[in-house]
Amino acid sequence: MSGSQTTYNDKVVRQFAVMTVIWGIVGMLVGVIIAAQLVWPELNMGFLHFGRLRPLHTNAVIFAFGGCALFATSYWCVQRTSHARLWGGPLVPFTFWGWQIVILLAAITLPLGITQSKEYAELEWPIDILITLVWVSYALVFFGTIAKRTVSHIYVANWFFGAFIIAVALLHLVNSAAVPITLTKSYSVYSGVQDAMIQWWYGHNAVGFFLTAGFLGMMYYFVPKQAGRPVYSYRLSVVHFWALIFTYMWAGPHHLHYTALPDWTQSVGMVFS
Amino acid sequence: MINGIMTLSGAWHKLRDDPILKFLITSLSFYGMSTFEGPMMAIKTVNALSHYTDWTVGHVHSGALGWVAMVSIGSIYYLLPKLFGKSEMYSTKLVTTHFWIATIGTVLYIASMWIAGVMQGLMWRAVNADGTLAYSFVESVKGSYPFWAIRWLGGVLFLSGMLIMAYNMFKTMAGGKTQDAPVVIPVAHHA
Repeated sequence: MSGSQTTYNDKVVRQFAVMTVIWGIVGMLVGVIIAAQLVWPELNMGFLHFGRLRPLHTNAVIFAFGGCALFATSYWCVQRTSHARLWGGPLVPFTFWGWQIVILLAAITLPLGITQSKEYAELEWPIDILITLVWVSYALVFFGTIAKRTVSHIYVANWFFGAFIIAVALLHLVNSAAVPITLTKSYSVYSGVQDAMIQWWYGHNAVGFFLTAGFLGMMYYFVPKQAGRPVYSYRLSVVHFWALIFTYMWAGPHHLHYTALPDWTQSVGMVFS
Repeated sequence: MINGIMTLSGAWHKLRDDPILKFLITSLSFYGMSTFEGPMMAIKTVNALSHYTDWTVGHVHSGALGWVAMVSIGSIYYLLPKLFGKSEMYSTKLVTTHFWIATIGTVLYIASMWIAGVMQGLMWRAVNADGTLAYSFVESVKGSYPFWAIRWLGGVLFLSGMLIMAYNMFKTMAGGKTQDAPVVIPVAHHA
């Protein structure tokens, strides 16, 4: 912030934007490899077989590619629509470097078979703690910037981004609760069908809030911008927001149809889907 | 989804020459499609057929490639020139190429998984007159091979699109200025 004029923090947006493309290529390359392994089974070699690479693919595309895209776009959008520079000082670069370290650790531990065996939440507890630290910093930066905005209105895209940040924090903390045994091994605090239900409450909402709410925030900023037109109906976008928030949280049980999960729970999950 | 697409009202002609808008609007179509497909698959009677099959994998990728990846790619294409002090990407033509390769890749992926998934579901539940299973599991695996090959091809196409994007990105970055933009002071509101 040199001179009299305050600037937006575009450096972190730049970093995340470039890494989005890089991680996109890495994650999709792993996807292409495992798709090939299904067609040509002889490609399953050593510890680089389908079972080890599949979680690497999902984690890389969801959290590395998708995550970096969400960081980049939310940081850009929240600054532009709040007319304020990102709040948080050193917390901002910490979210970038912390997130990159999480991704690197995932790329090392998953092929080695170090896993909590929970789909989309495979990373072991020390990495989970680092994720929590990064995520809390992200929330502080995002909501800190909202708090110091110079316009009274909070644009709808920020509602979606904000909901995504809060929901993912909640999901991650509850589902990853585990008792550590060693540095690389822990056991879930839940057992049996409760564990399965918690896992799919997490798993489905990872789709709902990470892959939907966050990207809807992106949509509500970049589509009008690129089209040079205002959002068709702002009122509809607010209805959209509350409808999504209300129903998504309950839909998890549909991943457990015809299992030991009580029948009524499955039906609730079906209706809210 | 409707809200997003209707934002284009009166600006539809922009879709013809603006590949970034193509990405964004196509992503919304896939969003609409997969959020219709998802709840349908969550209905227990449909799920009885689709569960554990490649239909689920296809559904996920319709959301992941069609919606999440395309909306991200579109947004990043919007951001990149602005972040590096350029008025547009190094090559708009390559963005268009990327769009078509990604779309074809996504369609190949989803269509092959639909066919494979429904086929697997039907084979697993098929029974003979005496109540024994009509097919062994491995027969459904054997039947899935051609579709897995098509899916792989779809994935290769989508990945190639990303490589084109990376080339375009580095060309755009070359010689770009990385200066932070000044904060825009909001216009005072009318009472």
